[in-house]
Amino acid sequence: MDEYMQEPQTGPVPAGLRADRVQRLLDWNRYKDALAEAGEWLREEPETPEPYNALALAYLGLNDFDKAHECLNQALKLDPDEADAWFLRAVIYYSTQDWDNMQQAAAEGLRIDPERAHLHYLLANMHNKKGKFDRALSSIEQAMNLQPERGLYAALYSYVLANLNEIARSKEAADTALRLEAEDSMAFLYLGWAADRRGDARAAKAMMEQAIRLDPDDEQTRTEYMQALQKNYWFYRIFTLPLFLRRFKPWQLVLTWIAVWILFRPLVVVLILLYILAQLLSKIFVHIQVYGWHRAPKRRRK
Amino acid sequence: MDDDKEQRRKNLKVIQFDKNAEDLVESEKPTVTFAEVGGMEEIKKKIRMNFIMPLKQPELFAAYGRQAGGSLLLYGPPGCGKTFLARAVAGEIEATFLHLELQAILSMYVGGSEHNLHDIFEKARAEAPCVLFIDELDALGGSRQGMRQHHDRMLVNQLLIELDGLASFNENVFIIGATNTPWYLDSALRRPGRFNNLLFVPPPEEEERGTILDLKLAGKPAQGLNVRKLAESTPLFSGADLDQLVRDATEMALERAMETGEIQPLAETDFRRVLKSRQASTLDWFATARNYATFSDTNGEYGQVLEYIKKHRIR
Repeated sequence: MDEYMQEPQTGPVPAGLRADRVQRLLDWNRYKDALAEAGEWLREEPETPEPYNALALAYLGLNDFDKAHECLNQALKLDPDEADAWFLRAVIYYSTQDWDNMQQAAAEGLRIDPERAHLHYLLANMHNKKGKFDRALSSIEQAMNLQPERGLYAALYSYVLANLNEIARSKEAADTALRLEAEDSMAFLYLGWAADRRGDARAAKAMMEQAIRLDPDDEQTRTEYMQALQKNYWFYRIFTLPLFLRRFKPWQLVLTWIAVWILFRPLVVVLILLYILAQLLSKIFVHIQVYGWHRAPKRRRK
Repeated sequence: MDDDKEQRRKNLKVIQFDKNAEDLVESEKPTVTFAEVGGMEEIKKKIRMNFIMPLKQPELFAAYGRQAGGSLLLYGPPGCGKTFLARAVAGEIEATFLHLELQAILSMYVGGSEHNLHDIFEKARAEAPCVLFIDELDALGGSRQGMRQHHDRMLVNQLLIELDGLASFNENVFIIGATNTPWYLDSALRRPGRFNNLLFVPPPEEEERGTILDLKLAGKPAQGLNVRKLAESTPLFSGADLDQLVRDATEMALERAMETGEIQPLAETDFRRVLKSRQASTLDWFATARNYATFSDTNGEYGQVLEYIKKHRIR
């Protein structure tokens, strides 16, 4: 937000400090206070897009995407080439998984500021989610070229490579990510998923432990952690999709199952029952390991 | 309550950081004491042993190598009386109360300098016996990513230096930190001699809720209202939640009064209607605290919270 620095103004807060103050409050997760601060800033400088961007950031923190959009519309009305506003727009569309609009906003943001590595990262994430791993690889490589010191990007790179079955390169990228980043739960999530894809349940669990230590309040992190614990039970790993089966395509798996069903029907029934049992038992064990003999807490919307 | 505020305001002195900033640290001589703090017996006992008794019986404590002064950290859901408790500590020992709030902390990070923090500690030493209350301590001594920049580290280090001085230079200076998010605190702050006493301030219990409701309803037409029953039906409500509850119910009674043209007392139906749409704001805090206590509590610091959650069957 340093680029938000403005010309000297008179007011209770010294000129040029509003941006820093908002950023600080956002860093502290005090989104309502950041909203108030950005509001003050807007009153002082209503004709510049920066306070609107700051308001959008605060609304993003509060998960109020509609209001964040409104603020960005205002910012872009004042300056259609406002790179931060396009970037934030892409972030919002990414959060709401509106992929078409997200790609448009990202393209516009990159047209104005081709050095914005995080837009390449968002695009890589999107392609990865859609299973287009080659395109994901290309995007994350662009992000890494722009910011090679960012561990988060190296972690996603490792995950994409694992999805492409490039095991050795994925492992190498994971080591790089660990050297670069020790405090980002998202990076550890990627590294956990990458390890899981490589069939290394122990490393996946270790990464998920780091992720949850850093951000236990995130529901996705909790779910992934519990699954990583589940996968560390040997009987779960034996009866639920062994690693070598992952190398097959879905249609190959279905054909194999049909053939096996015709040839060894009773064995298949036993395997299915063991599969269900392994799922249930491992889930129960993990629950007891984490919550003891108490019920799991209710899910709460934040 | 407004009278109290007014009285406090009259007692106020003000320390200003610098001529350009309007951020202030309040300084006052509180008149509230522990007698006015409902419940929280365990916490009061611990504070008496660590803060108050060494000041009242210095010879006895000196025989055990203890002197008056020290620090503690209050944590818990917002709106549950941490500030009031800190003010009562100052009232109990007739000490000056310095209140360092978020805006003042923010001005130290942005545009200010760590010298301000030293000035505040110097002021506290000069006014001993003094309670220095650092509200939102996580903002000043946080461990998050945003705190790794050079200047941020300098301010946290300055705080550590000032706290370490507690043992040697800070006789009769009591530092009370408060935070809603203790999990964001720099672990260095919790080492012995710093904020090593972590006290959980829970939401008010039923009896305290009754007292708070009585206070909030004072001066309002609420005859015939069963406050005890109301207190019973508001488990985990913070003081701030109860305040909002009474406000909403008053609004409803006022609407009725406008329609009928006569004074309408607050009725139980008003409260029932409000309670249908309003739940304790502390529930979100407990959900987050439980996650930290379950998944990220390597030193077992939040055992008290888990105990409380279990005891009150919070899900």
